Amino acid sequence: MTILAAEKVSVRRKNRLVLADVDLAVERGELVGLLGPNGAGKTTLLKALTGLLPFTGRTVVDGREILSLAPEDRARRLAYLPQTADAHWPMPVRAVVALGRLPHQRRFHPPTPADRAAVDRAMAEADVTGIADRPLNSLSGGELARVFLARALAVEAPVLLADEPVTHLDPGHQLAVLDLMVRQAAKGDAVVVVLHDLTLAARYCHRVCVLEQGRVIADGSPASVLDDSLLERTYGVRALRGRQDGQDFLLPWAVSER
Amino acid sequence: MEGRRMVRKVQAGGMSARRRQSKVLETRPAILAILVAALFAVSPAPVAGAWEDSARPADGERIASIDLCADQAVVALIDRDRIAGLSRWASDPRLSVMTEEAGTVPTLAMSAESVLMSGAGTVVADSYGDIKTIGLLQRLGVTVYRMPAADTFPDVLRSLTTIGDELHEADRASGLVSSLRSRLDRLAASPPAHRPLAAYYRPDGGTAGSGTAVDAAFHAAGYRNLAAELGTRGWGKFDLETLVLHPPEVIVASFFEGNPGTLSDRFSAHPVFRKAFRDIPIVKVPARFWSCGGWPLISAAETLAAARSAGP
Amino acid sequence: MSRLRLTLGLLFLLCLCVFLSLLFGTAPLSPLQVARALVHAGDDPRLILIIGEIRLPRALLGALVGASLGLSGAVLQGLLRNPLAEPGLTGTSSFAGLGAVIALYFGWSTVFPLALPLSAMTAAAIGTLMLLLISGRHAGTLTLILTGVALSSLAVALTSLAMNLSPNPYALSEIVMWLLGSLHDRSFGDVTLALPFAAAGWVILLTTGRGLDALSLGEEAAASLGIRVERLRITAVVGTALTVGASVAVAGSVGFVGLVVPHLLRPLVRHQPSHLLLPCALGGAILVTLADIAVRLIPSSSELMLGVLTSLVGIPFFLGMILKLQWAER
Repeated sequence: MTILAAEKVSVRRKNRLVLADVDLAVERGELVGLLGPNGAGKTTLLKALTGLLPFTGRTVVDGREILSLAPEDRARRLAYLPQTADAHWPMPVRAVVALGRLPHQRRFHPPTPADRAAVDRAMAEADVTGIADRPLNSLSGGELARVFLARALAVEAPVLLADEPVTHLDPGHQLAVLDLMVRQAAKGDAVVVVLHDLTLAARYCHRVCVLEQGRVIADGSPASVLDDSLLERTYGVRALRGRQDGQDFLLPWAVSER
Repeated sequence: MEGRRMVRKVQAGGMSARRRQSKVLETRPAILAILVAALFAVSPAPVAGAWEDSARPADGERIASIDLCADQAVVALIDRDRIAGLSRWASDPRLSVMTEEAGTVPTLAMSAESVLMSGAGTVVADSYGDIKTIGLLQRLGVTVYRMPAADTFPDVLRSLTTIGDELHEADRASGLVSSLRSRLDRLAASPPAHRPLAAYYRPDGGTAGSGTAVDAAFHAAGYRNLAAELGTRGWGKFDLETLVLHPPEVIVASFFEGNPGTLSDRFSAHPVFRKAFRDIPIVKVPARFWSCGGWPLISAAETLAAARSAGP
Repeated sequence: MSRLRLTLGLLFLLCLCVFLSLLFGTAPLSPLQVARALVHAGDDPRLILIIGEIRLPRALLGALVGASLGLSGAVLQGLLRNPLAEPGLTGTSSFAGLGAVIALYFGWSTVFPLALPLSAMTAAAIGTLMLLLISGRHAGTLTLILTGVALSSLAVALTSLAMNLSPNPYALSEIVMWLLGSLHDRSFGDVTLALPFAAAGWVILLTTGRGLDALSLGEEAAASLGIRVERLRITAVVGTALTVGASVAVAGSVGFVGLVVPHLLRPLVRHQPSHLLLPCALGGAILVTLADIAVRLIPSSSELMLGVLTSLVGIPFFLGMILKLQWAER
């Protein structure tokens, strides 16, 4: 069942078409990888879906046009994790994660037990329960990334849009974050994640959607989309392919000769 | 007010703001009452008129002055025992002509509190007094009499008569007025053959044009005021270039005593200025004579006239 | 420390400071006399007047001005995500002073008393808007400080221009009051003039907490959490204009309160912007009340300006924070 859809979404910036007639449909329980070289429009597409920038076309979540939703309603349905997540004050981890509950809280009302439980769950899922009381400025880069992921999870929205959540993480944490996304999808959420790492995309995503110069050039299962010709055309690389633990894997191996 | 200008500058103080001077508010917004009550668990309702009955001496209201110009008038017109207090400028020999008298009377801080504590029922202020202090005193039921600025001898005489009436000392005021009149007449009785062209100088290069108390004293003493003739109206500056282009016959200097270390000194230390001071005869008039546009101004005129007849 | 305990502690301190403030003035009164005058006991009605009509409005006005400055500092810092944002440094206070001077010296306020705070608040709003427009959404330290310097200088220049053009002969000495602030001989008339606007501003500013919390994650994350960022900015500008405008209209501009107080209290609320607001209002009130006691205690021929004290306290903090931020940005 489709929960999130973009129909003919175009974004124009300074007379340049950054996104051109992009169509995307994401179903519940699906983990979709958004791929493409730098400047292809991946971040722009996520922001358009979140309603953060003006666009033409139509975006729908849960059967309702996204722009017609009140900001709080939109926020309860779409959790967005920006690429350069940061917090400007050294608040304790728990307080930052709890910000994810803002769309659910009424003004001047203290957090409800449900809010607290959601924060606890999100912290447990992102493995930050142990550092709940530490101030942000005492954390490592990997810990910070998990804290902001927990913040996005705490929204408990049916759709999670994450922009390069693993870029600055070490391999262990990269795998842990994607394992977490798979679990989220398994719970019935729709997860759209921008990735640069083709190996991770091929291994974890149910579906990948490849953008190039603002257009969708391929959309389908990783095995069908990430073939040699696409990798060469889009990324200019040759890949090593193999099989491990009963799963196909792909590893960008060399810059293609052409 | 000349002196006050200097004083104000030095003190960098007068926080006044022209505001409507409201009467005592008997009622004030409930929100304030709640706030105050919350803070102190008492309701604030001080009654402004209450203390007048007890604090005012039976033998007549006591009078205070909070400004230099007012000090001069109050000391001249009011018996010592009826003066509740004078401003602190009253005892400054550079600014005040009656430091001796002032020494026997309490000095008031420039605040509503100190006026209230002095027990004064009437306060005399000049036209430049701190509007916040004056407004507050009026709210609290103190009669405030503001002396208008007096920049000419007719103004000085009129102002004395009016304040004499206000303070119920009309006889004494008219006595002072007639003595001032006769001193003015004496000055006018010996008109000079030549009216010297004079420039008034303060150490900061300030001068006095037409419409100032200095200008009035110049005329009464038989001088021409260079600044006024060059078109300066009110208090102004007499810059060095003007001094070179239009050298006066006489320089009249005031306020050169004291105020060390101020910007003023830098001006008077300028070589051009020092040369002018060497070459042109100088008449020094004690600042206290015209620190205020009041009756002491006659002494300034007399000092100038005496210097003129003595010759260079 | 729990937030409730912090708030109650500050409230208690504030009450203490306000009472302390009643003890000092040119009339030498003992604490006992002051206390008796407060409850209208005692045989000297003058004391009741001095406490009730001179020192009490002054103390309340000090608390009002301090609360306004502390609160607007906390909100501006949250909005700009920069701990150096403060009404004095951003030029907001100078603009409010300009507005007040225009209303005063061109006689508007004699015709219509409310013109004074209204003009000060309008000018404060213009100054804050200009700051937001020039320094951008997430102001770097350098941009913020430079914009503030430029705006303050502009407002001060226009203020002296307005005074030179006005018919007031003593305008030049009065400029000191607008630049450095004073609570000398203020009355309940000043309190009633400022309180309604300041209180409205407090209420408005206190509603920004939730948005400021979200904004600490950046504007896009905040927007994705359902925060209407534009509305939040306008709310902050209006609230700041009301509180700072009303304060400056009656007390002149008092600097650094909005800088020092949030800086001191931030660790106590674990840096969460929303938790900082109420404590900063109370802390600001305490700081200004204390400074206003100090100007009365320091012996000088005429009373010191209030802003002299707050600047002396604030500048070391300011410089220290600049050094720290420079290290952080390096």
